[in-house]
Amino acid sequence: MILQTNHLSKSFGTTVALDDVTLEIGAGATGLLGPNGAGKTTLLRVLLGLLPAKGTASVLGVDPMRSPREVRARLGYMPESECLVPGLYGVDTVSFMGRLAGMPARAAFKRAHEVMYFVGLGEERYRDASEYSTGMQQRLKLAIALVHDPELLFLDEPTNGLDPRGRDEMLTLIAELARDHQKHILLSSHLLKDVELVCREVVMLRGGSVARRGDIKELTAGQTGAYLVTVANHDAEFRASLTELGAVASAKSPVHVVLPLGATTELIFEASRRSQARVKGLMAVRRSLEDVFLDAVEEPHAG
Amino acid sequence: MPVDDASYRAWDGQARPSAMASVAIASTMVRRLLRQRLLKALVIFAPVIACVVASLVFGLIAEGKVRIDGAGRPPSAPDIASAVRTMFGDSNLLAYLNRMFFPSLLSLAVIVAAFAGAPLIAEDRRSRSLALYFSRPIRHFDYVAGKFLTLFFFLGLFLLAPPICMYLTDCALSGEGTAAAHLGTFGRSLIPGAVACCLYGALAIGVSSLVERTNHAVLVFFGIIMLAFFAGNMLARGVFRDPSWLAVSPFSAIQRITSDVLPIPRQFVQDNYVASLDLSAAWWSVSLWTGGSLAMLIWRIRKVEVVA
Repeated sequence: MILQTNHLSKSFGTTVALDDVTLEIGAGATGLLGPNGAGKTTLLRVLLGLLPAKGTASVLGVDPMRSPREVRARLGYMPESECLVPGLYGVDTVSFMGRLAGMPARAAFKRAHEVMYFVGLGEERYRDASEYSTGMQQRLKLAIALVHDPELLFLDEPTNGLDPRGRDEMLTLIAELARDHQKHILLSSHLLKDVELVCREVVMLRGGSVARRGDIKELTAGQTGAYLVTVANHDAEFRASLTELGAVASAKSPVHVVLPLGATTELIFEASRRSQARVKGLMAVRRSLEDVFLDAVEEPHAG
Repeated sequence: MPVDDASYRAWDGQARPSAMASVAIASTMVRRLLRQRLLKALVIFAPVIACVVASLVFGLIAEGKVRIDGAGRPPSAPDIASAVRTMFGDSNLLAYLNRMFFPSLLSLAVIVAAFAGAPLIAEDRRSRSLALYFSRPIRHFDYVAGKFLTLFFFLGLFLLAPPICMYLTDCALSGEGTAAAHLGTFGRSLIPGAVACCLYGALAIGVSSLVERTNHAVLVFFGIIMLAFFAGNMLARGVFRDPSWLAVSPFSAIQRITSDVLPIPRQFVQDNYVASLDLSAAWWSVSLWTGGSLAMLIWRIRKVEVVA
């Protein structure tokens, strides 16, 4: 287990930021989803040992509240906000952060060049980082998180402010790190597509507590009662029979069928018998991550 | 590695979080601040002027000692040298030069402290880079020590390099045995500069941690120094007519300490009023200003980190 929390709670005055968060996160890439104010950034900061909290936590087997420096030495953090040290070149910023992570000066400088090339800023190394565009600053923050080659990465909204191309490139880099370089990644985002593209597991936060968590495939495999049916002939009769039997059928082909509550696929075959239509294909419609997310966010709060 | 190799490579070295983090912070910040021309000019100006003044004075003394015809030299040089040596004696002349030079340095050091110290934490707060700093395995101490080292570099260069330059020039021009004979005076000449470094450094960084804009930090720092100076003088000379009130001003307190560690004949002291301030009151003043600034800094930096 890469990360574990047990009854973690954190309040700022009367505002509850984290409410009894208990979770376990395994190896690989995991998404941390939630609407704004759900407690994602607070959770990351507690796990970094930057904020004290009630409850216990373990990151890479180390308690971040007792040994925050040990935890921070082994993980890389990409903050959400603009946070670059003003007045430094890009490569100097990365090298400086490497030195703060305990790297020798020469090694940090050499490594800074390598990671700048990796994130696609090789040609921009000797420009003042404050002159970088938003996309370049996001890449630079990723380089900073990677410079000391950490086992675990906390990426807080890494695609914020990026155009579609920049976003794709950033997600490709993150996916490559998880897939090819065995980095464990906790990707905090409110963008479902980002998480879906990169992560295997997801944790959904709502109002500071865990609303859903698990493997994305398992979460989206739940029955929706909807199917896509392709028929070879008698389309119109098939749709009419489905309607007679209480299902909802779309006008387009393939026919999107929503079965009435409690009905099984037997109803579809009954409609095909009645209309003498030959069924060529039948596929269950998976729930999207968005469906799961909306369910999680909208269902009544247990607490 | 080819320069255009963009693949990710693991790093096989061993990162060792250590106290060197403060050195890393200081070296990076010094390089960044040295891009400011005003600051660069100020820290180079002081030692250069000190060297020139010391070269002239000790050179004249040395010339007065050498028995050569006066041809080609300013005719008054040996006379001046002889007169100066008679007035002060060898070691006292070094003390006098430092004493003469130090008040100007102390005044200009306020500008150095303001421009080098004000951005150190204020800019980190404004740019939110504290989130980056503290996502690394560093302690509060490393961060604050790094900022102090940065400011000490500039203040040290400005306040300590001149006495060092004067001593070295003295050694070079005044003949054998000078280095050992004037070592005590040299050591004492470093004390006021070191005291001012600590006090101005703590106050400038403390103020820097209070605000988010460099300009505001500069103004607040200047404001505190000026206000304390005028308040001290007004209370001491006008309201209470008691020189103890001069201790309110760190500037006056440091000057009093200077007059104690670098004594010179009374007839050469221009303003005797600061000398009437009680020495222990001056040390108390310096300690309270430095300690208070540090306490404010420590309290503030913990709060700042939480909201970073």
